[in-house]
Amino acid sequence: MFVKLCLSMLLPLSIGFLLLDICLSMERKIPEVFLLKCSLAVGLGFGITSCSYFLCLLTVGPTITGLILSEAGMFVLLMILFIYTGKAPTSNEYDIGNEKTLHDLKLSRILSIGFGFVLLSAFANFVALELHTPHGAWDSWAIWNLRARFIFRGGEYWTDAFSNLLSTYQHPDYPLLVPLTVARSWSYIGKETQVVPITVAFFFTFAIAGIIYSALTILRSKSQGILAGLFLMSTTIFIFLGAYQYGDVPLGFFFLSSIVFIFFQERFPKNYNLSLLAGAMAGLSGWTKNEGLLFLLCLFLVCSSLTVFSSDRKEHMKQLAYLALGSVPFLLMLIYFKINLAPPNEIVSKETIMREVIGKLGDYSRYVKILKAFIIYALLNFPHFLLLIVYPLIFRIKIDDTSKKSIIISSVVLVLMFTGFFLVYQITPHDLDWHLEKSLPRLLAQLWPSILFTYFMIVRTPEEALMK
Amino acid sequence: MKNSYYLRRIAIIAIVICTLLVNIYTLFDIIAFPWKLAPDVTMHIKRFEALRQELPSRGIAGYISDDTADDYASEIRIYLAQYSLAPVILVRSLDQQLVVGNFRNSSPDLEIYNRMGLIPQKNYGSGVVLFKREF
Repeated sequence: MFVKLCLSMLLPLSIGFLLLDICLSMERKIPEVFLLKCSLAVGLGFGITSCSYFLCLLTVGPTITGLILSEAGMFVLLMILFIYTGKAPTSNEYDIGNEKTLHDLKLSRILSIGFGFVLLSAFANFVALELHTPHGAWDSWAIWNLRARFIFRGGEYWTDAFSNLLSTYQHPDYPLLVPLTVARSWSYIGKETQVVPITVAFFFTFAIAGIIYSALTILRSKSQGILAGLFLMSTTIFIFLGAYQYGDVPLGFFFLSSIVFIFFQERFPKNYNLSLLAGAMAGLSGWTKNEGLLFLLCLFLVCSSLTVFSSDRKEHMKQLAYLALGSVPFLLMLIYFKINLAPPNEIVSKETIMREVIGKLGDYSRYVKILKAFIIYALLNFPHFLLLIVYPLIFRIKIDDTSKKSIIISSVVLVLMFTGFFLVYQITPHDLDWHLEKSLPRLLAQLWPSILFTYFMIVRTPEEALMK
Repeated sequence: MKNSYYLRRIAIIAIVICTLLVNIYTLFDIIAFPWKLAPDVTMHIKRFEALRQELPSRGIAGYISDDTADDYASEIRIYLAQYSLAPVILVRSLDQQLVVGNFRNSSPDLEIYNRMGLIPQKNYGSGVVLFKREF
C-alpha cells in the first residue's frame, strides 16, 4: 500500500514541478527557487491530475488503466520537455532577494532557528489533531470525503455524488478538486484509507508556508519570508482547518499562488508564462470551491481595469490574455460540471430569490451585524491582526517600484473578496447568525495567506529597517 | 536612531518568541483538552460497517431514528450515517424498500416500528437496524 500511496502522490507532484520548471525557466540551483517550485507543484499537480481523473471518469469510466495511462503520458511528455528546456539558459534574475541578507548574524540565526521551531510545532499540532480526528471535522466528512467515497465506491455510478436527493448542507454542487484528488489516490491504492485525505491536507497546509517563505525571500528578503512564515504557521485556525481536511486551505493555496504569480509577472514582465500560471491557479481555485469563482471574477475585473488605464496597454493586454488563457481549461471543466452534473446552489436557487434579496439588501441591521461579526471573528481567530497594525509603526513601509501594480491588484482583489463575502451574508437564505458562525472564520482563513503575503510586500524588510 | 534600531531588534525577537509560544500553547491545549476539538467520528462510522457490507452497492434507502428534535445533533447523526453508507443515498423518508434505523437507544423497541409497516431485517447492535418496508 505504501508504494502505491507514494506513487499516487509523487505523480501529481512531479507533473506540477516539471510544468513549473518548464514555464518559469528559473535558475534551478537556488534553494528558495526550488522550494517555491516544489510548493507550487502541490496545487498545480493535484489540480491537473484531478482534472485528468475527471476526464477519465467522463470518457472511459472509473478504470485504473485509463487513469495511469493518462498521467504517465503527461509525465513522460513533460519529462521530455524538461530535459529539452534544461539545456536552454535559465534566468538568473530570481536571486535578487538572496543578496539581501541580514548583517546582524545573531538576529539572522535567531530568526532561522525560531522559524524552524515554529514549523516543527505547527507540524506537531497538525499531527496531534489528525491523531484525534482522522476523519476531520464536519465539512470534511459531510462534504469532501463523502463525495470522494461516492466517487470511489460508486464505480460507474460515481455521478450519484451529485444527486439532488442529498441534503443541500452536503453541497453536492461544490467543485471537485479535493474529492477527486482523494478518490484518485484511493483508486491507485485500490482501497480507502484515511491516510490519503490526511496527506493531501498536509501537503496543501505546509506548501502554503513554503510559498509564502520562498516567494518573499526571492522578491524581498530572507528575513521577510521568515517573518511572514512565522505569522502564518502560528495562526491556530489555519493549522486546524488544514488538519480538519477542509477545502478552505487548498482554496487559500490557489488564491495565494495566483497573487504570487501576479507579483512575479510585474518583476519579470517579459515572461508571460507567469500570467498563464496566475490564471491557471485562479482557475483551479474555482475548481476547488465556489468562492474561487468570485476570486477569478475579481482578479479579471481588477486586471482588466488596470489594462484600460495603463500607459503600456499593449503589454498589459498580452498579460491579461495569458491570464485568461491559463484559467480557461479549468473553467471549461467547471462549466461542464455545473451544467451537466451539479444540482443548483442553495443560495442562488430559491424561487423567491429576487423578492428576498431586495428585502435583505435594504435591511441595515444586517449590515451592522455582519460588519460586527467580521471584526469580532477576525480578532478572535486572527489575533495577529493587532500585531500587523503595530508592525509598520516600528518598521515603516517601503513599496518596491517593481511591485506597485501588483500591490494594487492584490489589495483591490482582497477588498472585493471581502465585499463579495459581505454581500453573500447579506442575502443568505440561512439564519444569519448561524451562517456567520459556521463559515466566516473559514472565509477569513482562505484569504489569510494572501493578506500576509501582500502585507509583507508592503512593509520594510528587517534588513532595510535594521540598517545602521 | 540607535534606539529605534534596538526597538526593531527586540520586536523581531518578540515575534519569534510569541509565535513559538502560541504553537506550544496550542499543542498543550490539543493534548490536555481534546473535548474542545471537533468530535472523532470513527466510532460512529464503525457502527455502520456491518450494515454497509449487506446493503446494495447502489440505491436509495429510507432513514429513521429516535431523535426527538430536528436539531443540529440529529443532523450530524444522519450525515454520519450517510458518510458511512455511501454510495447508498439516505433520505428522511419511510417510502423506500429498505430503511436504515439509527437509534440512540442501543436496543430499541422494534415493535413500535413494526406497527409503522417496517419489518426488522437485521439488528446490527449499537442502535443500527435495517428494516424492510411493507407497502
